[in-house]
Amino acid sequence: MKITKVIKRVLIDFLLITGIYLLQTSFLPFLFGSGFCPNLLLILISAMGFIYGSFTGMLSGLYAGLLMDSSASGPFGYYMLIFVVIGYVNGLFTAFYYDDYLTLPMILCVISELIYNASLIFLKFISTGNVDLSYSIKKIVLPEIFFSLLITLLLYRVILHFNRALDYKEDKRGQNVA
Amino acid sequence: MESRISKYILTFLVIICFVIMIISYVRSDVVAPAKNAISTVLTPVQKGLNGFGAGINAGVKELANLKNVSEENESLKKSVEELVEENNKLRAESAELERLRSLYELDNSYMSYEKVAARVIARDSDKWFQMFRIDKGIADGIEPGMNVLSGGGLVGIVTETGNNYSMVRSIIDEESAVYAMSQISADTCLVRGNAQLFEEGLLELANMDKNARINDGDAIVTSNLSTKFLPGLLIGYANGISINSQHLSKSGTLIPVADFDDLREVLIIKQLKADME
Repeated sequence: MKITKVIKRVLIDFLLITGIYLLQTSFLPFLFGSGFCPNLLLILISAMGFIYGSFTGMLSGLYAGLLMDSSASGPFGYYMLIFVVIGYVNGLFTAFYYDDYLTLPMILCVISELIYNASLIFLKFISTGNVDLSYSIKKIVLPEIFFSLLITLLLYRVILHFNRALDYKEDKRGQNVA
Repeated sequence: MESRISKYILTFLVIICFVIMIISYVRSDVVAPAKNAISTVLTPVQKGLNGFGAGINAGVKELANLKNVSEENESLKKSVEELVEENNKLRAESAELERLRSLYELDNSYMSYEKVAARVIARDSDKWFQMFRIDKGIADGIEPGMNVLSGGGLVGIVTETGNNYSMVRSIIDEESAVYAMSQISADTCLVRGNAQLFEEGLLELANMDKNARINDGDAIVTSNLSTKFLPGLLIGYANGISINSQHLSKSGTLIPVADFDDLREVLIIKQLKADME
């Protein structure tokens, strides 16, 4: 891969993650009130790991986690850890990645949500000492998974389109040079 | 081959994360500059974005409201007349209160604490923790432990400050517990966050003595017992008080004064409880 392509991709992913983070913490909750629940950042990292493999997934996860940690109250680094692991796990399935096959990304979305929420239940258990498990699952985890699945379908298409357009442009440019 | 490299990287990153976590747990001031740097860049963007989101939200609500406005206007006009009359009555009473206060030399200084207004610029989008971020920080004289109000009621406490932002733990967070008392009888209780109750817009009222004179509708204010909250701040009104089955204590719920679902602007009291004694 050419170095300019790498730089471009890193830059775009960097902006994409930052944008989604801002959207999720500072825009959507104020637009929809506190009832908004799909986890956009998680979906993005999951998709990146799946499309580009573990390495990209982990680095994207590290950056996304850093952003989350900067505005979280728990131990600094906790979200980084969660997102790195999610990026890695999703990257394991990159060999089965086909453009128009949506079942696997949706399964991976659910797996990622489960890892994420299990980690947060654990953190909450450590910090408060008690978690009402059945209530939390019913009221927080399940709605979040449901909405995240919906958004996965949508966001997945957008990322795919975005990257295809980029690939197409680069291929064309490559041909011109050759 | 590549998967093996990935595994090494994963192990490396996981170890790094654990090291950072341990360091931040032992000495939180080490990671503060990193948090500060990120927030310094992001805060202005967050300010703009949430204003935009809130603006759209307000616009949509306004459109929906427009239909009811004329009806509401009629009824409001009526209530204005009633309120004017009531206001006159209250003014007379307030003069009397003033006189009595000076008579008793009651300290009503909490009314005149210096306050700073701030905007809520980011919220946890997931519901595990009830923290939010405001756009004022060290530069505006905000310190951890300062009490945060909104709509006339207690909202939370500043837990962490950066240059141009602070984190606030809301009293609806399950980690939060506030020593409180009935404004009328001064009998103490504890106001705790409870996710399940908050679905219905309530907080938990606990640790009440079985003989405590706290009844439904009583105003619950912060107690002087608290080491973090200034005394006399209104939290909400008692609701559904009942004696527990063992007849040892009472419990109930509290209807908060502040609207936690729609927090936009908050007031921070610059007086710290720790500095008061």
